[in-house]
Amino acid sequence: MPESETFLTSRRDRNAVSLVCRSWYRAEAQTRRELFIGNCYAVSPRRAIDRFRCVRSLVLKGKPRFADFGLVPIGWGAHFSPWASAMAAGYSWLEKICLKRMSVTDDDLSLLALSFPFFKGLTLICCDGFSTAGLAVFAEKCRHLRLLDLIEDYFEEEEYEVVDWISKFPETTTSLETLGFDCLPSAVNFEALEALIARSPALRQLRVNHHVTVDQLRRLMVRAPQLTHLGTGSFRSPEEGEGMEHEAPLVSAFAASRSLVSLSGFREVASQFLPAIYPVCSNITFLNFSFAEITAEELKPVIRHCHNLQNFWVLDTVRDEGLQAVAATCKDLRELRVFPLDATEESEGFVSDVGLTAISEGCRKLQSILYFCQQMTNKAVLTMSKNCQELVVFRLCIMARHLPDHHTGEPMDEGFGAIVMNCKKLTRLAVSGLLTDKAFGYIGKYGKSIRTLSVAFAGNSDMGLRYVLEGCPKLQKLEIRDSPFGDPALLSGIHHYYNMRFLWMSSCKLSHRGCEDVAQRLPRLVVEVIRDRPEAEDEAVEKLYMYRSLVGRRNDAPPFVKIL
Amino acid sequence: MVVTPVRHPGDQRPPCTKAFAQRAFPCVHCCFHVSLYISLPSWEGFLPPPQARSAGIPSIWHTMEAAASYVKDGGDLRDTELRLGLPGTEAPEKPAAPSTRVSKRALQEDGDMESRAKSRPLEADSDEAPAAKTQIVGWPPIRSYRRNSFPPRKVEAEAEAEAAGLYVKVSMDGAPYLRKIDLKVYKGYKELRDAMDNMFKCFTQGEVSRKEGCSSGSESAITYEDKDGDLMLVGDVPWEMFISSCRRLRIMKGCEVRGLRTRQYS
Repeated sequence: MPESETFLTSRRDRNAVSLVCRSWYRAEAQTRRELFIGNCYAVSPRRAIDRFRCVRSLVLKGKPRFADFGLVPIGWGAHFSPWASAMAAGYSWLEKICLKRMSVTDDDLSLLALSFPFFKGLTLICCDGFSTAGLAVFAEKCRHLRLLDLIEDYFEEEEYEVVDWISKFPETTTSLETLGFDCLPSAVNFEALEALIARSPALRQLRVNHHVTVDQLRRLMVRAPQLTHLGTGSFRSPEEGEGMEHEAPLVSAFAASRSLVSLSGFREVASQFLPAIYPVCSNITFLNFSFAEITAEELKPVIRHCHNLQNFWVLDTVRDEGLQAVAATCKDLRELRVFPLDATEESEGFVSDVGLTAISEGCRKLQSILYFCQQMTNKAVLTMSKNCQELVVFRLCIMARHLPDHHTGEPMDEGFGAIVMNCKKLTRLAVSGLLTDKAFGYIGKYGKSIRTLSVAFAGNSDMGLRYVLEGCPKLQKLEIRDSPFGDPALLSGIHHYYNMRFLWMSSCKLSHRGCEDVAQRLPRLVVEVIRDRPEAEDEAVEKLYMYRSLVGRRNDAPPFVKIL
Repeated sequence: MVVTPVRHPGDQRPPCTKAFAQRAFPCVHCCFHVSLYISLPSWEGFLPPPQARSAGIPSIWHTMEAAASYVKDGGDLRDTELRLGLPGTEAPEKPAAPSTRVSKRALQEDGDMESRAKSRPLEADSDEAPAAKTQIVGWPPIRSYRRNSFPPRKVEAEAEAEAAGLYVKVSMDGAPYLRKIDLKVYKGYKELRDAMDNMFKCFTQGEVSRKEGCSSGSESAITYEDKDGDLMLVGDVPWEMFISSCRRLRIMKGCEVRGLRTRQYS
């Protein structure tokens, strides 16, 4: 076995290596330490475990992304239990698990904790189905835990069901390096948390939830001056008038945290406390203000110090003016996300083409942008395409559907066309606004590196989808909603679907016949029709989700899912 | 039941004959804006208790009952609905906006609700009915986690105004002077109605005794002027929405209301 095999880390490289010959396949399988499964239904747990016997770390993704926006009914699937059981039986090496959009129960957590005595790290992103009771068992049984990170998970507990899980961590010095629970809706036992931090000398990342006040935060920071990543909780004082006395100590707490490179939280930020972070601003590379309702005036004095900022998430309350301030200072910015405070179509637009243009002119190294706005112009998008040649991810969400360029009244075709034409490194694109088939023509013609494409309320006819399916050879993930694409368009992608991870189409013009046609011609493709009303036998298909799979149809599909 | 048209102040055109209910929130025929929000009105807060009704106590509620039945019986309000979208496209029916859901099951339940809403009548949940316009499920694409993190917050200035009280003038036709009440003090339409009854009871008693001009002097309506200057019937919209848009109140007496009607039909 080539020695280099043990050093190959990229899964794409490893995939390639495994295809060379049988012995390389086996060697690769035995030395792969990290297993990435982009769709939990593409392969069976048994099969994955049989092939990769020495995996230390598993990444598993479940529901399609549109589940985040309520388009996938509850109970659809992506249960972690079969994986938990299979691994508990087969592996002893497993150390780290990262799950995204999976349903994880308390029993699963319990099983993990009991089956893997040396378990080191659990990351749960957008998962649901578990509670503080499961966390309590986990904390108690995993004596060597280094990482527990809960990111935007969903909790359904009632007040009386909440368990004091923080108190369950081992009472001796812990190995904790990362503890994140900013999405937890219930308050944790603060004294226990403070004590836990005090006996966790290896802690580098701490993200607390909005129940933690600014004074409590200060106390935690004093216990852990070595932190590199901090989620600041509410960043306000519960007693409004008495905030003054907390300010100075807070400033010194930040001043003492010399290693901080990442700040988030600020869930209910009281702007009087913002100056406290000035001492660390010039060091931070990641700043998440996307839950902080601050104005441009409040942002400017902060951002002025952030010369090294690379990732900035913010709410549109800072307006174009705030973005101009960002553009003026953050010359090293790689990623920008601008979220809307009021995510409706009729909300007042706080940011616009002006902000986008300013960013493109100031932040030439930009690689990734997610931008929510009420209106946009082709010119601004074109300017960005020319100025930001490093763009890998371009996601523009014009919240008002079907909205044309608000200066010229034309569709947004030219703007997005310019993006795919000029940004040669682009791999992820999300489009919005009024778009005709022409836009898709551009994507098909120039988007040769695109792997992920999100489409909503766009296009005129089947040609739109055809351009994309026929033109984008690297396309792996395609999600479409409310666009007039029908069966002929669906069939035009037959040559490509085995190369894709999934295709999602909802509220388009598909019929059962078209989907059955695809299912028949591609036996390794699982074609799921998700019906909103199980009893209706409509010819029209409301939601289609299809994906390649080695195991064929899954056996846990609920009644509203019909697998063709 | 009689359905009486309302003439807008200063309006020279013949009064619109559309039913009260349609008029009560901006009517497309005489106002130049339309409401995107259609709710089953919470009449309960405004209907008097049964015993009051049977006792023949001057009731402004009968007209409202009539309007309620008009809405329920099938006035098709869809032609007054403004939707976003290309002409000819049908927007799907909308349930409560995800952002206003208090329930912790914020996740896929939204999608489930929307889909169920298509097949059976929307269960109007007055606590969660959106004050905003119609919403498409999952659009804009923001995770429920983020949506639920921002409860509707008031801007500083509004918050100050709130703290100071929401005083509006109340006039009653025929009364010699006006009153002022703080809308924030009341929790709902019923309390408001009681307070207004109390406030103007001295004038009402006088009216009842001289009945020549207005027989069965029971016809009157509580109306209000909203922030657009339109005359609206009290009781159609959720309480919160009402107090945020009400600028002044007016109790219109039966004489004038009926007078309009006679003019129209003569």
